[in-house]
Amino acid sequence: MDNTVVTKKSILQSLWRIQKIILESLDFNTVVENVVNGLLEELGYMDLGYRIIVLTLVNERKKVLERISLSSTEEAKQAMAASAIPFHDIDIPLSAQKNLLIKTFKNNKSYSTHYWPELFHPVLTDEQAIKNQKAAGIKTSMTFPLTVREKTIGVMIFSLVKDLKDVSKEERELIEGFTDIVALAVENAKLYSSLASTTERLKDANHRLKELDVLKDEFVSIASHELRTPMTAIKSYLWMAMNQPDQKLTEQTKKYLGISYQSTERLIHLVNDMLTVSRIERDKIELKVEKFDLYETAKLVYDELKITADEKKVAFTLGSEDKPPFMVKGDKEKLREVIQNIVGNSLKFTPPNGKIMINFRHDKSHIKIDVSDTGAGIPKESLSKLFQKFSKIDYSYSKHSSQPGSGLGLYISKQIVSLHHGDITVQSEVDVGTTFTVSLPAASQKGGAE
Amino acid sequence: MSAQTTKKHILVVEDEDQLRDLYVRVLNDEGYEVDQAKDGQEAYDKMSQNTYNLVLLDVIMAKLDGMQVLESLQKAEKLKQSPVVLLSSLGQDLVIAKALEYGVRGYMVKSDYTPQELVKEVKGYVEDGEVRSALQA
Repeated sequence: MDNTVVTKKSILQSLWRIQKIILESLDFNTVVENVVNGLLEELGYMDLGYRIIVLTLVNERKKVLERISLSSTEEAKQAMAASAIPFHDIDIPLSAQKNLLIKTFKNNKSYSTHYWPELFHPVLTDEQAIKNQKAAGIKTSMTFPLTVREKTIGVMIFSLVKDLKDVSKEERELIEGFTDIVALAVENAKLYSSLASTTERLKDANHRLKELDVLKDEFVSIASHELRTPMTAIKSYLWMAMNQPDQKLTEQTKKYLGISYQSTERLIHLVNDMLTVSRIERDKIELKVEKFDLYETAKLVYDELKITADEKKVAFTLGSEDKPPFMVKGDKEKLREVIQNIVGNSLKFTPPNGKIMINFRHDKSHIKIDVSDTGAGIPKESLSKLFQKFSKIDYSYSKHSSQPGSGLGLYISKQIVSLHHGDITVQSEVDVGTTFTVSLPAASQKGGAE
Repeated sequence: MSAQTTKKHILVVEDEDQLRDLYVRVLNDEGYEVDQAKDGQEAYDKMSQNTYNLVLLDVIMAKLDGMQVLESLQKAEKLKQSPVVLLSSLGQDLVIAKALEYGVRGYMVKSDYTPQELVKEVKGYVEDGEVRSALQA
């Protein structure tokens, strides 16, 4: 093959070929190997006297130019066998004065030399560098900057067994085009590798999070067991103290015991709620689905809470715009808890002489239950926090409550209704009142139809 | 045979002394004859030697835990002798599926019951047991 192989016309074809080889891979290690071998092996540059191609890249952190890869030719092997310092340890400081690579890097210009110490200074002594050059039998080395998006990222060295005057214009042009491709390919591979390693790290992190989640779940189970044991003893013995038939307690003592008992009950509810939350978040909640009249369920809650409402002198009504039944398919006990929670909240936060209404209605394919109260209302900015975990809203809404809840009730209710493909929404006006609306898909009223 | 003439026999298995004392006491007050076991091994021994109208079985205990007691009884083919109700501080979902395989009658989370409510539950299970055995006879 003679010099005419590289003609103007074939430069483009050659570049296209080498581009294909280099861009084939996005893996950094493969790319840097391909760039130092492709030209020699695929484009016949061996026949043009090229023997060693070296890729160096700048390391911003260490402020050096690092030797990255080297052609797998016999000459390269000889040079390295002779070298006092292994190839990958030849890091040229960016501050090096007499080094041609640094000059190439800083001036973003191509240079050439017949004298290898210029390529190795100050890492190798002149003698050591000359020894390497002799071992490889190199006459000329050309350096080319690697530039991508106006930034120089490294330098390539092309070493030949011929004189500089024998390098054709076309050869140089092809090398210039080639180094542009190399710069782009290396930069892309670097970005891709960092993306790949970030993805890998994210996968790891995600995996660890899942493990932590299991641990958290175990912890909640064990902690709740350990908490419940003494709480059961406190609750049971307080109950015994309050219910001793032969014991005369003063009103004061009764009151103290009552408060202690209520507080223990609160703790027990809190633990139960935390377990429920843990189960919801691990998708461990199982619904016992059956078809039932939700109005009947609400009636049970109503009857239970009516006593408290009467005691508090709150007018409490249950009604419906449409004729019952209001059939739904779902977990009866859990939906009962949802209604109890919402109505219970209203009852807690509605002052004496206030009003609470439960109203059932059909709305297209859904059943809607409005629970309206004449409580203090909830400011707009607090509404969105209402269904979050441990949301204790800091305003007068809660000042009527003698019994703060766990802050988990509405969160749990919302999750349970979501599991039933429904939703809970809230509308409120400060000093006027609040309406919670539970919306659930209606089940057909006929027995078998789904 | 009537409830007035023959006392119903109940075994309380509970490793917490205070709770066991309390359960024994309220059940005694209710007119039951109450046996007690403070760990799984003792529970196994008593359950394999006697027949009870009801066993209240704790789950987390020293030596043998509640589930191991059930497992050992099953191996010894003595599981069906007495009806068992689990009484634990554990969340129900952790043990209930396995416990049902052993044919336990029920599951109670201790902290959800006052002594009075517990007695009421026990009464229900004992009466239910009577109906069952009457039907089988």
